[in-house]
Amino acid sequence: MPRRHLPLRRPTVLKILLVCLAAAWLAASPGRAAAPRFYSDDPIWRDPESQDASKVQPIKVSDQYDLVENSFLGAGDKTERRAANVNTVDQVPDSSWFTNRVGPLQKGSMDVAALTTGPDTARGPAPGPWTVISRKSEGVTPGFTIRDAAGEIYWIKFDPVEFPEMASGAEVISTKFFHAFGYHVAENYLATLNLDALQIAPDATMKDEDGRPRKLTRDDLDAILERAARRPDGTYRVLASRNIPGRPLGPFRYYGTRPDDPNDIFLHEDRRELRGLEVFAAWLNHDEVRSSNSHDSVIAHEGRQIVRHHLLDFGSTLGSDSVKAQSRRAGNEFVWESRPTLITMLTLGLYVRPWIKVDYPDLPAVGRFESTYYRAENWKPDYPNPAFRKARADDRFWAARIVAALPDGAVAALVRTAEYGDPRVTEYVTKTLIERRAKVLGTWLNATNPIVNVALSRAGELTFENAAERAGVAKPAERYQVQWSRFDNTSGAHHPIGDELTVSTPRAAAPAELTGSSPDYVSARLSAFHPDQPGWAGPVVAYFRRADDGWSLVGLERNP
Amino acid sequence: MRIRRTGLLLATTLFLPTTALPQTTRTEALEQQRSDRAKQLETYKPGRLEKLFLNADEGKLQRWIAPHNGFFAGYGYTYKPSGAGFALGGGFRHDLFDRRARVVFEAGESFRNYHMVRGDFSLPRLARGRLELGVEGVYRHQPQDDYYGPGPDSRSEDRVSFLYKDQEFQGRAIATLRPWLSAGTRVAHLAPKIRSGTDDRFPSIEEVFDDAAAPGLSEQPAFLYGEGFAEVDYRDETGHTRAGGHYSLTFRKYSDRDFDKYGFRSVDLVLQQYIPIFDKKRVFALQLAVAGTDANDGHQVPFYMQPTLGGGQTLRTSRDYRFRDTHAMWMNAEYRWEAFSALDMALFTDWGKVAPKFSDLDFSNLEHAYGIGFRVIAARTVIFRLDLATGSEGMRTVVKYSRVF
Repeated sequence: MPRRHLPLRRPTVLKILLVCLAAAWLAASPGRAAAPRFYSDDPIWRDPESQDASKVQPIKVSDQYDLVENSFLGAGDKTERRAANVNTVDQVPDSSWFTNRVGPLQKGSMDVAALTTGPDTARGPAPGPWTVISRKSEGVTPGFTIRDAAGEIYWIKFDPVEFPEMASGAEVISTKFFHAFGYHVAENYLATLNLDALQIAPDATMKDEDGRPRKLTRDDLDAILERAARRPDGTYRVLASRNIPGRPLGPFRYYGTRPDDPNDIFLHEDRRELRGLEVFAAWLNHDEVRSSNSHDSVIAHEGRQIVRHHLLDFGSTLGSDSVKAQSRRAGNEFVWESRPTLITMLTLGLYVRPWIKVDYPDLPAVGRFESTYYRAENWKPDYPNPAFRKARADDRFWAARIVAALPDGAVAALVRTAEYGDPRVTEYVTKTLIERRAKVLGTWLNATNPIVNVALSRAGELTFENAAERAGVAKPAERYQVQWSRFDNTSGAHHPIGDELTVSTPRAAAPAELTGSSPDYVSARLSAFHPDQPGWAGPVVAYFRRADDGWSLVGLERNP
Repeated sequence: MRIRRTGLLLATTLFLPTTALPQTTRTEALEQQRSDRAKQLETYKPGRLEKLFLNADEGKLQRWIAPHNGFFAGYGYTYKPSGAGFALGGGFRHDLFDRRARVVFEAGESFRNYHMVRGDFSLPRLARGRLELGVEGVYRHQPQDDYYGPGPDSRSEDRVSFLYKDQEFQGRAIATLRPWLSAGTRVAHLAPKIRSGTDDRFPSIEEVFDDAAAPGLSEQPAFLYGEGFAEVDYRDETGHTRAGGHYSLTFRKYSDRDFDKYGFRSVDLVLQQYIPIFDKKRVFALQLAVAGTDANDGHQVPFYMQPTLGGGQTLRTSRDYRFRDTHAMWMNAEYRWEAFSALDMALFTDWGKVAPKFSDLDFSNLEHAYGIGFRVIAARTVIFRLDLATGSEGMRTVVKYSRVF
């Protein structure tokens, strides 16, 4: 059938003419010249969230819709592109989403004590009576809200009867880890509930079956406590989660932006800390990393109101699924995947998904957590996450470097914050995390060129490091190749100088003609080679700007 | 008009001084982006589908249609029998006396003109929730129940319909002795009536059968009955069981209050066992059920109170109530496998028979069915079941909105 060509209407022609005119004007105007590649303050280390967000309104997210939308409707942008919120040296500036705490931007040596303190600003509920003010109505974990003797409000959650210490342990450990990674999290404390110190506020309420508030009674508390693990002395180990400060706004989504937040200019699926979150979630088996387990609140910041973004509810991490042991599917398969489903249907169930047959330790406080079957690259959350789907090798590399920054001692210290009664549990969780970490690093530090810490001395000596080698997950590269260029910051053009150099150690001299002359910017294109590591071959491009005391790294591109 | 708007827009864009200034720092550039965005803010508005889910999440629709307290409506109704067809029910229910008591008034009607009216008053939380006392009154009207004649040799071509209706007033006491163990008793007055069936496709019962083939057809007494039951239930989930067991034994004694001809006792035994493998992703589900009646000396068990076999819960190649006699037994075995979390499949087989004597409930001449099933699961409950069966009575498709066992 011949294609029909519709004649252009006059207004359309006029419109095109106008647009062309405007484009020509824009191109010619000096005031509107293309922005330079590097600004004078690059790289920035704090994202300037300069707008007042006091008018942002709360939103609700449906858990079921989130599942449907992400599993079947393909939520979010799918254009392959570099993370949008990284600075020019490929790092994430501090923001209302993220704070650099460990990793490449860590200031000073590792402060393990600070890591174990995590987000905590108090010591948990104050000694004295706990007054129940409402029953917890959200989430699957039984619990209630109390006001402690000091007037602070805490959400109290319990461990399931069959798995004492499991959910609370997982939540405390993961809170510390995610805080260390750089995210904003709630303050979660382990505490002891003594029934003698528990009282019900006269105006305490809960929602009835129809969602209407009704008076909370002792029977209602007993019903919660019946589902909770109790210690032999009659007390309960509980997780006390402190109210997050600020005006609550509900969850954030892993795609798009919050349309009423003026500071939210980067698509969430293009935020590196949300893309890289996949690596952390995979390490800690946080399969429920989804919108409903996040929380935005309006807080005061430098004289204005901004939205701060938190990760919430780590009850379904490690081997815990809050009210039961973690599902075997968790981390291994989405809730819905057509291929294994069809194979299972057609083979009358004779095909058994391999993860169903994985062995787990007989330690109730652990639940289901292991490192033998685990593969970092195969790990999946409960359902597709738009930010994870867009994660690239450089995003995962960024996250893996943060993981690499936590040594065995730090991992062990963070696990100890769970205060497990059985030392075997502490030992097992620590060992499993360390083994899983090795797989995370082996996978993601080698999936791209691992060259880091690139520096150019005043004398023109280029030095760099191999992050994979440094983390012990790869042998040294057989060789590195370096291509030097002058870089035109206005046009973005590279002008190669000399031939590509090959060196066997992470060190190379810049050509004298380059450093001796007076370019403001130079670039070095670096490749690493090892027959076992095909992922290394892609280049890293480092940019240096002439400074009073030599050269400063102003840009770094991995996967350019 | 449109072109004017475009021109105006371009002019505004090109000559506005605010965005024309180049930024000299990254910070300024980002601040400018945010400043521009601040001029275009809008409130988040969920789409239609999302709104639907949000309402469902909050239970708004559920609370509006079927609240725990208040007027309610829904698919089906209490005591809706197999064969009633599509039915709707509704009524009023409410907790009373600070949740210590509960009252329910309910009525239901099916497209086949089955209906039911019921009232119930209970004290469900006595002894810290371990004892329930209650009274109930029910009127049932079932105009198209099926009868094929007595015994295992009844013929499907002899199908007739009859109207069954009754009034029942019942008192009950149910004790939950352990979370997995309950026992109780009921005392009731039951007044059934049998009339001509209204299913046009088949003759009415009196046109084909007489009292000899359908005891109690010409006269229906009122009964007083007493019941005792015990139940062990340690299933992991009741709506979608993957592990555990469920065993129940119910004994009833019916006394004929009018004719002294239809007094009898009945015993119902149900044993269900669920054997999981592969982390409950595969389950062998087994059921054995035996129902027996024993008439008093010189008495008969009315045909409409006899155990039946057939239908989607017992023998899937046969229609509901296909076989009736004073004794019945059926066995079901299913191999279930999870295709994914919302869909189970099953290979199944059903075996059963009815007999006039308990001693005849052996393993000879069993009716049988086998087939494949698909079950949709939501909220840990089977909400839809499609079973394709074939066997001693040919092929049949079973569609139900509930589990088998």
